[in-house]
Amino acid sequence: MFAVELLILVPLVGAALCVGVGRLSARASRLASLGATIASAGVLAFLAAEGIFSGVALEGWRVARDTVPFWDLRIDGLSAPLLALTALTGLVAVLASWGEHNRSSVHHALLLGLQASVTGVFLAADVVLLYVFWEAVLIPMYFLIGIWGHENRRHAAMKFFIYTFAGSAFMLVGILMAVFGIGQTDISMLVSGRTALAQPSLVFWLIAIGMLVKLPAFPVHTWLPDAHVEAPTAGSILLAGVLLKMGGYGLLRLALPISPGSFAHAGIVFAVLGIVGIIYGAALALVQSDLKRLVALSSVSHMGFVLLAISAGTERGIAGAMLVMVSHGLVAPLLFLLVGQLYVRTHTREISRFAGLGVVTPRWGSALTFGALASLGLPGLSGFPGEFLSVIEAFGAWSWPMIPAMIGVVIAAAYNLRAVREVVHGPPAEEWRALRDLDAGDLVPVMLLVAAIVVLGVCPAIVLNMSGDAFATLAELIAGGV
Amino acid sequence: MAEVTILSAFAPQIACITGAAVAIALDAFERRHHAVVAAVAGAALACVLGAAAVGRPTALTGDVALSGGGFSGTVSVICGLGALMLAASWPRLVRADHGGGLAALSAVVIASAATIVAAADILVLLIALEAMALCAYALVWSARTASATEAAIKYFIQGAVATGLFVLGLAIVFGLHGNTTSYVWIRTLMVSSPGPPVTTAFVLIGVALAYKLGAFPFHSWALDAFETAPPYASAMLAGLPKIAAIVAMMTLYTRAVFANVASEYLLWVFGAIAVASMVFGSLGGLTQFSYTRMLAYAGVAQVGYALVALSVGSVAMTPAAVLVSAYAVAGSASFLAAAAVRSARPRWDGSIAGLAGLGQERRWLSAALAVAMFSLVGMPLTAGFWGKFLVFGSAVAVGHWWLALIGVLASVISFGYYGSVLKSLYFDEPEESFAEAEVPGSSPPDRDMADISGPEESGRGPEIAVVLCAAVLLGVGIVPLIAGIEGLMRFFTFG
Repeated sequence: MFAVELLILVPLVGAALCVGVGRLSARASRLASLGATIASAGVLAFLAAEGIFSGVALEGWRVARDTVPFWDLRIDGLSAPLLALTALTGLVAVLASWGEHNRSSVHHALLLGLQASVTGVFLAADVVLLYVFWEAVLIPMYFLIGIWGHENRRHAAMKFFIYTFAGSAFMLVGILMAVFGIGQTDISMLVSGRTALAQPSLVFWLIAIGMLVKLPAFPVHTWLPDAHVEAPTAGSILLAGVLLKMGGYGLLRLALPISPGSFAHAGIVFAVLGIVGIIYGAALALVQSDLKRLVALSSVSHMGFVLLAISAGTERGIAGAMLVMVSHGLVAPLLFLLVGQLYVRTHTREISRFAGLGVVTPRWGSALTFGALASLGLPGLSGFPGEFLSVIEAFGAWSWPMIPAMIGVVIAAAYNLRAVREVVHGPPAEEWRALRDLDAGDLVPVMLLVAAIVVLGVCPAIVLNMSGDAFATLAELIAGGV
Repeated sequence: MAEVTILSAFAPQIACITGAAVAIALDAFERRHHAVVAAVAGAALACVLGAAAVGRPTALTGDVALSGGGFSGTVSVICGLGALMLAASWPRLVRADHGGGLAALSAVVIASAATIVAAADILVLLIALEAMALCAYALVWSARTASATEAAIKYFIQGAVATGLFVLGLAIVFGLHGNTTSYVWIRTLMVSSPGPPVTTAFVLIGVALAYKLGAFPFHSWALDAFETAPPYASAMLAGLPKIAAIVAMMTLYTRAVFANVASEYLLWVFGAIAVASMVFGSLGGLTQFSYTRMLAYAGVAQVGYALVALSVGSVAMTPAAVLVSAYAVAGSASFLAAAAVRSARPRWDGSIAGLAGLGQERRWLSAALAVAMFSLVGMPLTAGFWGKFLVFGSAVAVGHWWLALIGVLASVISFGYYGSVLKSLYFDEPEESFAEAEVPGSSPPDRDMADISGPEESGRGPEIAVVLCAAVLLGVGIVPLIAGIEGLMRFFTFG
């Protein structure tokens, strides 16, 4: 089925087109990138007709099998929701950087390149191909942060690259051990031949380290605040929206299936790291004076829930992890988008310099309030079902030691509401009396995300229907041990 | 008949050396253009001849020459890359004194490197190594600056010591058996020899080859030589000899002379040198300001990755050849880029920081250089990835996963300096003093010191060659994803 390939090819062709027409006009390249993101969403809609969003597995175009090519794409329940998320955040990122004037054609081309590589990660059915796309993601992101970022962009770009590259170095050795130990590169073949592995726990942890850095889990999360704060808005949107999800996806796709027996000791480690991440990220977010840094650190906290949910090892736990990932992939981009829009107008992100923006810029203020409520997990919005499931399932698995996770939920409410109170409420600050509110163009990406957050909050079954079978299979693997 | 078959087995080397001879003759008549044409044509023909023989099974001809399969494949890579580097330096060679002679020297380097790969006789190996080294000293010195002279002398003296060690080792081997220098015969005789002399020969020859490679702790000549040599010479000397030396070491230690006695030493001797080179090269590169000196340190680390393969044994020969070939293309391209930068920015001081803002000035050159840097790091989508994937994979396959882990972590550290080049190219704004165009009529700061490495008149040759190398690196990086890696491996299969 060649349409699966199109999900990668369309953004790539769009990127080439962007650079090509960039010489004519910046507007042409913006339109080209918008066209490419809409087209790839269209391909996804076409594939939806094939049933990918109802849990059907779909394979890509196959090369002749006499050689052993690495190119092998597959969509299944685990990848379908994340593919939809990638398409949506890709579109939002392009819209968010509509006003970028510095080398805008290259900027848009890199955004599309990033979308293509992340899509590749979620589609790859071959472990070598997965690693190739995994690393390829770093290249456009490195340039996006380094060229279009804020004051400390050079340092942040280097730190981002080296930190996550170090994580994938461990992962590469783990993958090599699996590939050369089992003699296969196809992920499903690796999983079925996993008993041939001599040191399954070593393979598991080597691969898992790469995933935990990407997620990021405490204590290997320190690259994230810098990268997020310094990245341009579109970069932050894709970073928070989909790049972090690669970590959770990788754990579920690769690490756990190859060595489900390791879950016996990994589960408790994940639970502890998850809880520490939840509380630590939330506590740090609580004391930030920079609005963007606050959102960035809240990501650490949210990703802690993903780890906590996975640590339960049950079908509903994994479902909770997926729900948290998708929800965070909508909420964090919304918040980064809003912070970015504010920064463009004011050139500051200092929380203390703002007050009463709800009066001056009511549309922006309402959107931020909405985002904050979604982030703290208000029932009815997308954050709630996932976090609820993850806490419930973790409690089922580990009982009362999971109570501290609830502290994290409380702190989440505190930092989100504090941000809203200081920035949106109160008497308007003199400085920003004449601030321009969001116009129609700004509102399009905001409303896209808001709509998705509401839909997922009201009807989480959308995601569960896509992936139910995949979760059950994973849970069976884990329960089976070995 | 035997002579004829030996000649056909050495056909690429003969084509290359003929080109060199014609170049010397033409240079005597001041026909520099024609001399360069002859040298390039010889190397290019050698490349084609080598590629044509890849499909043939590996064969040992007259107990002297190995050809077919990966031996012809690496010969083809050496000659092709050499021809490209020579062609890129065309405008400089034509204007330099004795340009034709320099072209001939380069052609001899190419021919010797190709001979080292194909050698199946330890005397042939020694003679080819010496021929290559003598030309290399002259090429390093051709910058004619005081520092290049110093580096060339250091290179020469250290090289002479290495040769001495090699000859000592050879004397032991010869003394044990007396009447043969061919690999196949020595291999069988080595097993029945007493242990101590065999071990001594093993170490002496290994140390000599490690010198030639520039592996830690025998690397100090390489840092000065590659920093001060003219970029064209560095481009020629950084890659080709490393391919040759690695293939020769793999042949000597895992398949031929020491193959039956070496297995227990291989891991510890070469594994230790590999780890030391990777760590030293990667950490040393971090502190460099000079672009070419950084590349020289990086070269030490790259040799370390290749030696990981040597410590694994004969199964890792194909991975080693892929890795070192990918390094040679990317490394040569990045040294050559220094020449291209000089013609774009005559006032460039040779520092990494001096590359600031080049990304917007010279898009193609900068993009190609970025590809070369990513390939040296071993990023996927470039040829460098497959080299490291196969080498570390072979290490993991025999259980040395910790060696692979040190290797990939060294690669991570190496991004510290490769990334600093990317940072200068794309993230930094150009500094006035480098960016300003050369004022017509004014001379660069030290004109008399800049004979062949001089800034101007390089034309676009180096830039085009760097872009070509980048295209090759990307092609080799991406095509195996879709077509499978067998095609790439077939080029380097040592039957």
